[in-house]
Amino acid sequence: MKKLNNKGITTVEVIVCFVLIVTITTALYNTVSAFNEKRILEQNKEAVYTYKNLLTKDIQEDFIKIGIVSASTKTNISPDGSKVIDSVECIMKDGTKRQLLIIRQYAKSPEHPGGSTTEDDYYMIEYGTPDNDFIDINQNPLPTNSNVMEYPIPKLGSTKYEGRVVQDLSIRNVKTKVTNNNVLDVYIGFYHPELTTRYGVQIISPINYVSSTNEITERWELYSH
Amino acid sequence: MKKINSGGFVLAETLVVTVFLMTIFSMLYYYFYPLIGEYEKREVYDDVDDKYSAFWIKKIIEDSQYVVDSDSVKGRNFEKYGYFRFECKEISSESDKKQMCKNLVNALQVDNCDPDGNNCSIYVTSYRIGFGANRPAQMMRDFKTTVSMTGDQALIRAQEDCDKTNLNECINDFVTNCKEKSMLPVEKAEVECSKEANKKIFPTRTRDYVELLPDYKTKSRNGAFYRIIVVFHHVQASNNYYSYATIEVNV
Repeated sequence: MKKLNNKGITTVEVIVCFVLIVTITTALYNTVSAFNEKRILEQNKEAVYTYKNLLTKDIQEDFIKIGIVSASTKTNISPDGSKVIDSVECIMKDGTKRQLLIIRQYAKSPEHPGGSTTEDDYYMIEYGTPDNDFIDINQNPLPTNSNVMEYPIPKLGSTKYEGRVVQDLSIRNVKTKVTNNNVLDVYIGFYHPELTTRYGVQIISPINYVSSTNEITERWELYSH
Repeated sequence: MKKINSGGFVLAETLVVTVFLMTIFSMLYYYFYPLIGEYEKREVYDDVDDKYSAFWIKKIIEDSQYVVDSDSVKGRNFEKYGYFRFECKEISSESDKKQMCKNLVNALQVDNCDPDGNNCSIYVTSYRIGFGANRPAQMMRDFKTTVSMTGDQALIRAQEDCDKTNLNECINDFVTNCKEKSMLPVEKAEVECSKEANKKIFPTRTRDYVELLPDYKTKSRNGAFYRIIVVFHHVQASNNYYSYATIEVNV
């Protein structure tokens, strides 16, 4: 009968196998962790997109279905510059009011060296029909209003800096502008260390636009249908 | 008893298996990575901001003060190439709407608009953008065909601003006309005007978007016969990217 090979594995074989396994594992680890980072990034993007979609839809639906007659913008900056409130006030065609508030409280951080040393980062967007008159953004604290809905921005992680909580996702670039009294232009830009300033909410609407549709039938004859 | 082969793998066998595995992994890599790029590209197609932006442009086009004469260059361009460019100057009178149009297209960051809201990358097409063999007799090309043309044929796209039938003559005329109007020295004017002429040609990114869109073969549920395709160039907040949206137009 043939004698079986029962010499076992040599040290060299074990070392070669070990080196191979380590190499493969390292390569896989780098790939998997790169994909994991990508997954987290996409998850963050999706959170920002969902937020942006909800907010844009709620506001634009009012602007399209009812229409704006007039709009004005205000900004209030706290004496130390750490808190900024932007307000857009609209009178609608049905006589109701709409107010959009963009509240930014910056805590001191490398990104905002002039931020507050006593307050945490806080970002909030509020939109709705104020009870009676527009909310006065110069009041401190800001009065609450049951008809104005809060849209807290997504929490995508935070860090501590000198005892204060600094959010990863913040509102950075805000533009509220009424051009020639006929176009309302609002941009709320987000900042995130990985997403940078790429994402934001853009709300643009004509003001007091009355569509002329009387002669619409067969106005164009470019293409015989 | 038969002797068992205990020689293990020979070098040739190992090499064959290695090459085989390498081929499989290379193929996976080759086909998988472009998918990520494709997904990132589509992120800027028809997002909520752009859809609402396109909606407001659609409202202006649907307004009876926006008139396009079928016998104009735009009308002929539509018949020949399946599109024309929306411009604020087409709004009939010096009304508030013309001013509003200028402000609106500039606020919306529509690509390529001048301060008067003209020459914007807003393409008005028929509702159906890809006809194939079913193209109407009077239409030389549908929008998808026009956009996907390459090489010398691409010059044809610049004809929108020119009545000439000879394409090269048309482009040369445009550059000459542009240079005459320009206050720049001749060499700089040449460069600038060539750039202007090139802007009239659809860039690859626009072609990618249009080719991805369906042909819209079935009739619109809203009875629309036209559509607009809008290109936005986002530059605020240190950004620099293009996005696209399409919406049907009820005229």
